[in-house]
Amino acid sequence: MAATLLDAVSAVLVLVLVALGLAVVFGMMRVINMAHGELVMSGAFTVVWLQGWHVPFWGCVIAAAVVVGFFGWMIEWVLVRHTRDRPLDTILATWGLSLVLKQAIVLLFGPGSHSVPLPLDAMVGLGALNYPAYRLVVMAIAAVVIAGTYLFLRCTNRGLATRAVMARPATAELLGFNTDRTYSATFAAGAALAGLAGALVAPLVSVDPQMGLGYLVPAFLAILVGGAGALGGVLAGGSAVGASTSLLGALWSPVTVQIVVFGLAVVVIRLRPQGLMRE
Amino acid sequence: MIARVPLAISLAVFVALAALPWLAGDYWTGQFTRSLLYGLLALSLALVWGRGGMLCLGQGMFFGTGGYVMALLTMGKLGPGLADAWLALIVAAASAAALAAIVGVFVFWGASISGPYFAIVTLAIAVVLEQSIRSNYGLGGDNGLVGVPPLPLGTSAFDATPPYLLVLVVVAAAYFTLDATLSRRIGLVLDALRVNPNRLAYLGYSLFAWRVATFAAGGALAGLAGALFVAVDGFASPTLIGFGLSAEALIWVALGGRTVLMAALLGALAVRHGEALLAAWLGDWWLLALGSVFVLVAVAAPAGLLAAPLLWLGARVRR
Amino acid sequence: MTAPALELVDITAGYGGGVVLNGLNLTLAAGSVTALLGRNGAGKTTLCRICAGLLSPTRGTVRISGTALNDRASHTFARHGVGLVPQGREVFGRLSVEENLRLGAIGKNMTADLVAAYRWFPSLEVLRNRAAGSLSGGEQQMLAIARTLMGAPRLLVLDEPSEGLAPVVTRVLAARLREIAAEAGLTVLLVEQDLELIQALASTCCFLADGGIAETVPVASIGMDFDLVRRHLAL
Repeated sequence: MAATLLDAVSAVLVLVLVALGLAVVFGMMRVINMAHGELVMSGAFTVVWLQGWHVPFWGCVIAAAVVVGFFGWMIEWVLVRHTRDRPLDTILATWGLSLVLKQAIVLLFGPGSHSVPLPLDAMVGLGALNYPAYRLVVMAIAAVVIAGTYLFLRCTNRGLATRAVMARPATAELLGFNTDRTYSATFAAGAALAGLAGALVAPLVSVDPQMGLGYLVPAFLAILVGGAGALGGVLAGGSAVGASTSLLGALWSPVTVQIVVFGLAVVVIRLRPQGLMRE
Repeated sequence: MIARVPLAISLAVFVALAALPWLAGDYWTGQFTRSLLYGLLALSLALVWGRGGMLCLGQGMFFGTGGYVMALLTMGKLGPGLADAWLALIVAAASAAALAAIVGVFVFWGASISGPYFAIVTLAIAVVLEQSIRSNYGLGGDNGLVGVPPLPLGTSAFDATPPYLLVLVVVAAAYFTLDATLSRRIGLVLDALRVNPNRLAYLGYSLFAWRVATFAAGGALAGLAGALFVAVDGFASPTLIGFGLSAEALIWVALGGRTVLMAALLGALAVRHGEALLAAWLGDWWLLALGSVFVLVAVAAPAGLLAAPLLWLGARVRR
Repeated sequence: MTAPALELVDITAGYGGGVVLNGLNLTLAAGSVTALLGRNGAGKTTLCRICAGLLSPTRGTVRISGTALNDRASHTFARHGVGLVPQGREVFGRLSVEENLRLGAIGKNMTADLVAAYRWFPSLEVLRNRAAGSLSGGEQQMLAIARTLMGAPRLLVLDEPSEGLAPVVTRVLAARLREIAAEAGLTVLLVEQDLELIQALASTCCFLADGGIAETVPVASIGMDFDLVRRHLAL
């Protein structure tokens, strides 16, 4: 029972971490990044690649965030910036990009799946329960990153500026803010978060070129269920989608669970288009 | 109003296609039968997305639904009395239309889900549908339904020409019906629906009814295409219903030209056969190249690559 | 001699195909307070947008304190000392009053001097933690002006500051603006319909008509010259 609960918390934190980058980009820039799942995948493959060079795991994680963040910066510069007033074309362009990234990984690493060894093999005793230490570490990092993002947006000048650009870009320009730079920084940050998430989950899952879609759809549903814009929404939506997936997984087959959760999420989006955390 | 490819050009395209079996041999005829059906799927997406403004990321679900219904009926899985192929075609298209109508009612009713949200929701539905078919052993699971009987055309099953001509007639009929319909008032309403729905609502049009009807019509076309495809191919597989085919259809339509029907149709043919020709040469790089071109088109040439030449040609012919 | 705070030379601008401003010339000497009048649709807001870099003219030169800034992004104009208080105030409704004020300074990498802002607009200090969206129209206008002043602009452009305000509030606003402009040595371009506010603040008055500056007169003279006002504003 305790293990099931802990698994649920872990699922929620990982999903929120994956959805966080997407939510930052969607909430701030109203940009739907269909390549977010592939950015997560790129993070995981950065780890696979660097491990081949015997780089220590935690170095790989940091490198993944940096590399994918740089990807994001380029994507904003080349694609997103030019389709800003055509949101549906942004969807198309980023979707096309997801195909390109997928195929590029297939060409570089082959179509098969890879596994990353657990950096921490130990189990931690929690009362009567033994739980894998690495999972606990991932949960802690996810929690810290989520809290850090929140604090950045709430408590720093840069965060305040970011929220101002999000609310009224033209007015922010009038006050001297370079909105273009804010946008590229935001997109790069969202991508870096995706890369970080991908690197952290790499030892827990099978790393293959098709893994992206499995992260994109739940992350989007989490954001739409929770309500875009506010970070609280991502937490609420991520909790709803992640926890229900994890808890129902104890009862039913993964496919059934996915069908039920996606179906429920679509119904929630339908009934509350502003999301659970509507203001 | 969106410029229209003149009748002379579309007729020329279909006449050229009709001559194909005598020019290209059985192999290519069989290939073109399939790609014409993909072209019909592209037409349905051009109607829903290009003209109606509803970016559906899961158009494959209607193609697949038509295909599975066709397979179930003609294989006699729902009773031998229902195994008539022509009846099955109609039922398959109707089922896909019904699914589209249900999704449409669900999505567009009341405070409508629109734009980007619509895209995500259709993607989620397509993914769910593909998953549920893959896990349903009654529908053959991952393997799909094998052994769908070919269309009863009274000819040898190895002769590729009769099914090709039948498919060509169906696609041509669908094309000219759509083209004629969209050049009337309906086309104007759809353009308004896409460009300025609020204004259209002020004028007393029901956005809900128009969206659902357009979406259902697109579903019917995609379902018909899927049903014929399954009969031609001999089996229905889960790849027809999910993410992969939906993504491909989107590429055809975007590369061809989303608002011009003929451009979307030719886009499907061009990409499918470009793949057959170039994949041997480019190997795995083909998909990378295709994806990159798709991205470039989305960013820099949202009208597509074939629409402008077609319309230019059209203007010359008309003069 | 210092360069003029604003020089618009031969400005042509419009939206889509339509031309709104056609060969307009306007020079504002540093430290001057100028009012701009014109009918609805004469191009007053277009002119403001050009001064702040929100719109690029199709022809002509925009010089801010002697530097030509054509086709530069709006934030560059702000960094060169232009502060536009836009029509409709455009405060950040979800953010608090104090956050709005701080943004005015952060945007130009300055330290926020909230004391000065509250000295100019004491009512804002009381409201400092309220969401800006919950303020009254007059309070929002004070906030929008104060927010712009936090960035220490040299040229303050006010687009219809009295729009939608009660006359009493307009009078308070006029008094404040006069003190501030004098204290900070600001150059002010005031786009206004309210003659009372114009007379309280401005020394010169320009009439915008047919895409250019039709006439420039001392404000003192327009009080008597009803004919002039009638001619340009069709009152």
